[in-house]
Amino acid sequence: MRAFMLAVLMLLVAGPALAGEPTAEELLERYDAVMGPHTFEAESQMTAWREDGSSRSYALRMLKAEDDKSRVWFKAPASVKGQEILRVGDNTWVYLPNLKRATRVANRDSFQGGDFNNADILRVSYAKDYAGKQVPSEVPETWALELKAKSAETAYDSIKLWLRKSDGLPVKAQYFGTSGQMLRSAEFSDYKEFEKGYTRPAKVVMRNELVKSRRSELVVKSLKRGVSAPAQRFTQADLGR
Amino acid sequence: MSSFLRLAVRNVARNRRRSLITLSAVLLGVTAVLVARGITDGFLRLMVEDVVQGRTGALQIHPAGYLASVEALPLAPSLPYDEALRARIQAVPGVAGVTGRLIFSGLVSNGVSQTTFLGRGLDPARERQAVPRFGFEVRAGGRVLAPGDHAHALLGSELARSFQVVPSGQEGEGQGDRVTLAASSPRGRANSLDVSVEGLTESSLPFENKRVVTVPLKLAQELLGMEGRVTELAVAVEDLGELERVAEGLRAALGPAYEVHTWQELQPFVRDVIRRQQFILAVISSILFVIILTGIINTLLMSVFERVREIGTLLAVGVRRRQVLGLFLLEAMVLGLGGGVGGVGLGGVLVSALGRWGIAIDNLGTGGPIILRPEVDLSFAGMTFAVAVLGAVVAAAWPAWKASRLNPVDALRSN
Repeated sequence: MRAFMLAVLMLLVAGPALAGEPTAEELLERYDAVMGPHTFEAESQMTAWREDGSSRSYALRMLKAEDDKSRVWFKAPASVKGQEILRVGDNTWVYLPNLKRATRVANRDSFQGGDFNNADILRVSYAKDYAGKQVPSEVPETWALELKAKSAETAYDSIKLWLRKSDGLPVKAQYFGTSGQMLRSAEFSDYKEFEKGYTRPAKVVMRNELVKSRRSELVVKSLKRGVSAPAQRFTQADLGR
Repeated sequence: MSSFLRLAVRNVARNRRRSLITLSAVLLGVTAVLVARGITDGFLRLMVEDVVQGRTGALQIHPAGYLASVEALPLAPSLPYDEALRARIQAVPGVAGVTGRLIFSGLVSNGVSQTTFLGRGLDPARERQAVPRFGFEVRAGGRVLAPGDHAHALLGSELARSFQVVPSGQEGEGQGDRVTLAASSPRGRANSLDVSVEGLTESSLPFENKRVVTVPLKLAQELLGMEGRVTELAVAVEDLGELERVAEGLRAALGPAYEVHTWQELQPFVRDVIRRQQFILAVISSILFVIILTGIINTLLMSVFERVREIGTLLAVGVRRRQVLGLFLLEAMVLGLGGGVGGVGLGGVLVSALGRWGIAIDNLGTGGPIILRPEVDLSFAGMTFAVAVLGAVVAAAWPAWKASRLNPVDALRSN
């Protein structure tokens, strides 16, 4: 009997691997490595469409370090040029060049006032935060994963992710709150090889599912992983330099 | 002395027209001060009642450090909301009732647009214990949150208008329009819930009409993942005069993990408005008194100049200088007493009549009229009366002294 159980267990564990199918956990680890490198520096363009049809576009440089530290420099348009944002854990400061002063701001979860959540861009660690389960996918050539939060600390209660079978890169995602309502949905496109052997979607469109007319788009122009990000760059004193 | 009093009364009655004008100046001045005070008191009472009985409660309890960072509406640390803590609070002498609330911020949307809101999660079963006028701000047609409500909400009137939301009960049958409330738990977990709009709230603070969404406590706790927790406890006291003592009692009973604040500390805006009103009233009263006293000085100076020969005669037949002084002071006192009694009487009648009818005034910037009921403050009326009489006597001091210093020979010879 025990031998039989063991055999079944072996089969369950080894089964997918034997068939060449990655496990949900492997897929999540791959997603984390691609979408949320531990340290990176990126040039990107963010455009937010509001419910009245108007849109605003920003060019920004982002530097992300370990331990949930990040900095953002706004480069265009002229109205926000020179503004900076520093995040260390749950604390956020905005630096306004006209005042030459850093102001601490309430920690809104929205990324730069758009429809991205900070966790969508700067704190991607799905393998650690969520338990993944593979489910049948209705999108051809993709795997579908259902992610359920392991703790109450995560930004979402559950996430549904569609990943390409060819390379495991994301195609689309849906994000749900505790009540089960869909809060946001994302579409990934423009897959681009930023560094040798490192390909990721350059464009992410995030839709606000509570207000359908609101969406934000993030286009990554360039991205370098493993840059040096010394701790002193993530202090208030460094703002404006 | 009584003959001097009779003399004083007769002297006042002699130049009837002038005395009447002075009397009516005193009378109208006292009346005006009393009516101004009555209206101010009525207005302030409205504000205090609005705040204490309809909004904050007399006292509030928060986790230590809450008020220092109230702008950020911190959700952590929070307070437990259970029988044990409520019993500890109820046990403090002077506490009349206690209720728990969850104050939070989030985004409200109707599917087309989205805006930030200030959420108030209230316990419909207990809210009335702490704020007896709970629900007074619900606009006609809507309904107050009741125990058993869950996915229901009241929206600030301006907020509802900008969202074109119609509450239930205003479009015939069926449920009200629905909105989605989105907020994050203290640890950052996003969540959203649909609620039906049951009514609109109308506040005297314009901000609240644009931003406030009122929901049952249970729904707020579910939205924020804070089951069994609240961010504030509102406490009613038996006697507002004992406010500070009850606050001290609560501080002693609860210890340093909690902070206890009175409504004045919680609503500094209202407290400042009250202080400003009282200052303005004091300035108006002083101006009125200066006018009254100038009138009395004028009247008495004129009567001194008119009656120089008479004063000379009085002094010549052996009346003492201090008796002359006293005579004029008595005349001033008669004027002050007459005007004071009349003024307090007329003012009292006017204020109580206004109190009975009520004055409908437009609620600050929100449209709906509220009824202001002026009231007579007896101690203030007594003080006004005393100031009128004493003021008249003090104002008469100089003319009276001048009269008593006349040289009888010169006075008799003058024309």
